Amino acid sequence: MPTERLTFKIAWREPIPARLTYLIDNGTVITHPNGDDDRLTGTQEILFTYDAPKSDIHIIRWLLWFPEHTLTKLAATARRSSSRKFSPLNSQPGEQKIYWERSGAL
Amino acid sequence: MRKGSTFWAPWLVLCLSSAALASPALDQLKQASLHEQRCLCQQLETQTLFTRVRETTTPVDSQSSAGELLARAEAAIQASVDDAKAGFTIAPLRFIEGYKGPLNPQLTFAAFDDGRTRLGAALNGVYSVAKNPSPKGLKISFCSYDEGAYRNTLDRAGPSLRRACAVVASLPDPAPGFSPGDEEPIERETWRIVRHLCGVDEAPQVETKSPPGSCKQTWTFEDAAIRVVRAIQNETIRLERIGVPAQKEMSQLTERLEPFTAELQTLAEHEAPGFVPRFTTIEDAIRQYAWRRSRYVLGVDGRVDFFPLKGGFNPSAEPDKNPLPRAQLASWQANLAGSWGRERVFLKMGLLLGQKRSEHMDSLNPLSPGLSFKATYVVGALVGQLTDDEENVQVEGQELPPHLLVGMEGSVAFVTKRTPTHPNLVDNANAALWLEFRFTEKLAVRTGFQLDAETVTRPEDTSSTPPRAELGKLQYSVPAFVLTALQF
Repeated sequence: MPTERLTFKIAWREPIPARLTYLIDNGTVITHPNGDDDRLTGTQEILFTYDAPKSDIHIIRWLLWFPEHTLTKLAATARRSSSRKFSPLNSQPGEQKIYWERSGAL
Repeated sequence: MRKGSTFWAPWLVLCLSSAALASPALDQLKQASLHEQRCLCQQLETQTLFTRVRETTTPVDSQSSAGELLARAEAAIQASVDDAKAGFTIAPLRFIEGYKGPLNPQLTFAAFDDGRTRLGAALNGVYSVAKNPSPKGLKISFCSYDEGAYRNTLDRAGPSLRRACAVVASLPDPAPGFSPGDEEPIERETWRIVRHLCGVDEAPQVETKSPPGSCKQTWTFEDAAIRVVRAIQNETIRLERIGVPAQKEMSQLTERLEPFTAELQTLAEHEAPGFVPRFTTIEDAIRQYAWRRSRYVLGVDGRVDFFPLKGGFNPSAEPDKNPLPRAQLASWQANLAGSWGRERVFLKMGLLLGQKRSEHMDSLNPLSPGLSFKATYVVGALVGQLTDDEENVQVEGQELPPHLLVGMEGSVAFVTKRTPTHPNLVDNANAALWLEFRFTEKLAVRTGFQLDAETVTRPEDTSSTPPRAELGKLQYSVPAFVLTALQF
């Protein structure tokens, strides 16, 4: 099965750590948070690269988790390895409390 | 993502002529969506971890700030038959928006009815075992989404997909517009798949490509919805790129898309429901989780008390021997304390070191080491239930119900060297037993009894017969007290 490499980027304004609790690509759970994967935790930005079966459209679902905090200017983007430009996956939600769970299509 | 009604407006006219050719298998798509959602939530239940959770609690103890945390600030007034005092403690870092660091410095200012003033500073570090809780630990279920509501959403969106598919059925193969040598473009793949999903006559079947363990067994409603939207967007872009030669096609397309604007908007905004319950539930779950986990705090605290500052007329017969106090140091004390808290219990132990003097003309007593302790137990709710049968704390709107605590605290300080004039090992001691009514997490009233034992000194008297030597012994008092504390 041919695969392609994708990069998912999620960013926010505050210098507060948050964790990408799950990432689902086209119905497949991509992140395996049982392990101590440092790439899933970040401050102000998380950049996560993964391989997925090649597809015309990737429906990406994610949960960013930041208990006890409120984050603003949240933005999720993604790109294929064949493209330099990140495409927005969803409209910016303004501010979110505790978590941000959404989906979008690349 | 490319979406928006303005984008569709120029687009929606193209397809009516071949609308009858599309017939999407809505039931299959919906069932696939429901299955995929169920499968994903079950996988998330077993896989996901969360980041550390910290929690702060309310200290109402004005004795020492070491080993206890403060949310932001606390004002307390304590009155007893012996004295009265008022204090204010502030944790400055907690006023920085978003600060949840492990260090919790505190500053204290207090006033006593005998005119003494207290300045204090404390630095506490906190560690909580409540880290990386799993959804099960937080008792959050990723499968608690409302499947019935999701089914209804799919039912409502079904007609929109059917009508939009009628437009899709008439879209031409975008391949002729591609440059020679292009690999199979994404746009053509979308067109190929959406024709299959829309049930366009004679459209070849396209299988999903999923790795082992994937929840995607077949195409879902969401797969169809996003591709319908994307295929129409792609065709719009293709015609725009052609420009003037495709002007007629573009205007036909726009005219045909016009009646479908609302449908396309519905499909563009369609999403499967999230897995996380609404946020108030999570906040309560975090509080419940922290309640069940141990939290440790280690801190140091230092404070100094000053005699009052007085000036003007001195009524003493011998003003030179009995000068007015000029804010001299009355006492100082340093504390090292550690605490542990879990569920209803809070325990704190500390070491202290200090010096004091009774009068401002005296010299400071020798260094006096000592021990301190504090224990509290949450008896129960004043109204309603504090916990359920499994000892899960009942949280509503992130707050505990009004509740009652019983507590005891005390300290004992020793002399470093016993002398004939100070024969007791204990220099001073105090203990208190109290009840605390926490009406809200911001307002508490504590009332109880305090046992104070302090060495008082009888001065030497050589004029008496026989002469009396200087002697220091413990004197006890048991005042009742009431303390009101406000926390912010």
